[in-house]
Amino acid sequence: MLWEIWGRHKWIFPLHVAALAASVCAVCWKEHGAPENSLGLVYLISSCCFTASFIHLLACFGYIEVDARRVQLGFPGRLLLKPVSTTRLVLVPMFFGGAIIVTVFATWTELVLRHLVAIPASSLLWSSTVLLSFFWWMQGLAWGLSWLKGRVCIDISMAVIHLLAGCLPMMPVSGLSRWQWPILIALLVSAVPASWIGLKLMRQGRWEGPSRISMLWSRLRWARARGRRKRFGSAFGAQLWLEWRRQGLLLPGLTGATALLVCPIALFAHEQMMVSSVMLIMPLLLSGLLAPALAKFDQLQSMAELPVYIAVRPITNAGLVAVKLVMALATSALTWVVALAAIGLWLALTGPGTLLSKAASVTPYGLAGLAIGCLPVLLLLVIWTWKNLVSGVGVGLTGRAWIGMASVSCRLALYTGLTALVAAAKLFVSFSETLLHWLPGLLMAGLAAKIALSVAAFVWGLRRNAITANWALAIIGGWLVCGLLVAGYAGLVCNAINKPGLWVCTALAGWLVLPLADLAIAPLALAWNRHR
Amino acid sequence: MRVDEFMRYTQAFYPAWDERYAARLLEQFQLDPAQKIKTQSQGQQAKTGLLASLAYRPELLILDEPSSGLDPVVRRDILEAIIRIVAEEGRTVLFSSHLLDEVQRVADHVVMLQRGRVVLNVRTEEVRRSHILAVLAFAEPPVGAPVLAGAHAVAGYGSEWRVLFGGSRLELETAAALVGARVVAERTPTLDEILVARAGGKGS
Repeated sequence: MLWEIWGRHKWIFPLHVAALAASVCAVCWKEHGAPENSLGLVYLISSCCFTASFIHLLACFGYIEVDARRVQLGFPGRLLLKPVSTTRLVLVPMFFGGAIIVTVFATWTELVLRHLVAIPASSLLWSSTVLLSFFWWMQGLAWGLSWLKGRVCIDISMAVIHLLAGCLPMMPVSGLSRWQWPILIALLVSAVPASWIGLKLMRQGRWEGPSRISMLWSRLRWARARGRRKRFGSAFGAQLWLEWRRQGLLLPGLTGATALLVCPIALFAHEQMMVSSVMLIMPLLLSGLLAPALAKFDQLQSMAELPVYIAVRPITNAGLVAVKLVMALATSALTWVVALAAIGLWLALTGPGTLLSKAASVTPYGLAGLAIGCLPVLLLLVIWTWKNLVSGVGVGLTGRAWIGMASVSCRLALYTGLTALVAAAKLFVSFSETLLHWLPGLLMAGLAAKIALSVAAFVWGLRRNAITANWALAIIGGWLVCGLLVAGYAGLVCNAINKPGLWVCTALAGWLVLPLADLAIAPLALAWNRHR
Repeated sequence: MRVDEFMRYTQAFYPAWDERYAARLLEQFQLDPAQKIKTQSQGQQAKTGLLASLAYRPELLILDEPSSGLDPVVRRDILEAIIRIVAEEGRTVLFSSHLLDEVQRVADHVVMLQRGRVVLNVRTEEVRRSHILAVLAFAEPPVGAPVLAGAHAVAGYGSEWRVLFGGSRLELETAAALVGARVVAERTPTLDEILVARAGGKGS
């Protein structure tokens, strides 16, 4: 089993070492005379490397595989039939995986994290034990309950339990301190028999086939929908229903789950602003992470595969792409409704008076005026989230892994270059002034290149009959309207903060980042993939 | 997705979808509309797919190994549905199969492909009529397999040899006499036997 993990991931393990080395170098630079304004860069590098490295290790040693045929995420099915005891199947990945996870965590803490955040030495053992317990429970739940639809709710509940358990030392409850370790040890130890029982029952095939609960729920939903069922008005409507069903609630669900995780932390840390700040950033961050999933028609298939059933649907490539774009817009809007509802609920529960009255005093029109004034901002946030989701849809629909990798590499290079430019501008004042002087020209050149590329893409698409003139007009019209909205609001904000000189750059940047060429080539990309 | 949801989804793509016909097929195939497709057996999934293909009454139905891997009961249901389409509605069905007994039962016309090339393209009845599976008896056991003009396959040993012959009864008797044998038994070969013989025992 360990050889198998090594064989699959041996080319990625050096990257872990490289990530750790990069973070150690950043920390050393911080402690040996790095400028004050570069600390943010150090934190950014270290946190990104740590997060990426750790998530990969959890996935690697969690020993969880996807069974696309049965739509399950659980223990590798091929091992269940091997002449190996269940005890060994359970203990090997748990103990070896746990040991490696804890060792890597301790290494990162000692070499990097302790130099960035004030972590007492005594908390390392506590943190490692919480992490180990969480890791074992995630393994056990994935192995034993892979058949259970909605298992993600149990996973999230267990994550919240571990988060609360981890926060036990910080809880201002008298008498709790002597129960901290017994609670944690009980949580840790109980994971092993729970995993063993789950895997044993899975191995015996006790849970083969749909569960009675699942069947009953399915029948209840069918009976409820029976009288109300209407035909779809069009093929577009039917495909939109399918897309929404497959991934429409993913982003709003993750945003809501984030709120559930953040609120207890904010409560214990007495940070009223934390929830609002996190909920305003999370949808934008999550939408960027979920963008590759939008191009897929079935989440359990690889990026390259277009399900045969979708490929033979009597609907045009442009129609399929339009469905994805509309679904992305709807999910973005719902996500922000969830985010604002979470913020509103948080403010209502924790006493909104101070925060809202401060915000209302910004404008002479009071709270109502503030709410109305924020509507364009909300619209912009929805558009921004939608932009994050659909960026790269053209690349994803090609179904070619090499194009995806090339796109990711180009984006990484671009973001690295931009980050380096910003960092250099912060460090060197003269460079900052030169950059600001040339920035409008650079943005205009970029915009001109974008328009030229988009025109070429539209012409190509029209010649290949992959898109119609109406499609092209709709995309261009949408781009212009969104760009005008961004430019308009940017003008208001720049005027309000007394920096009218920034308006041109902001407006140009808005038009530059809004997707245009990507949407023009998306139907062509799908056509390339559809009839392989 | 449930079966009823799948039908509703597919219906949107085909204006010619016949709801009553779909409901009748649902009953004939004994499918539970409330059941999720991922929990169905392979046979039930095949029937669900066939239902979605038949309900909008296509002029041409193309099926790729429709009954492969299915139990005999489900295979019978699928074949009966195909026969009904052809016989009652006069539609065209093009299907591929390695189960030649099914092809023999259902198909009017058969095309055999071997290594990407068409080696046989003829009506089913004609191909069976034009072939004979005969047992030849030799007075003296021949040395090695006898060579008959018009024979696609020869098997046996000693004095008795089985031959699959492409031609009429008269041609067979003439060919047998030329090699010093006589026909002692004969029957109409199955399509399976004919195609295996014509393929030369190699993969097709």
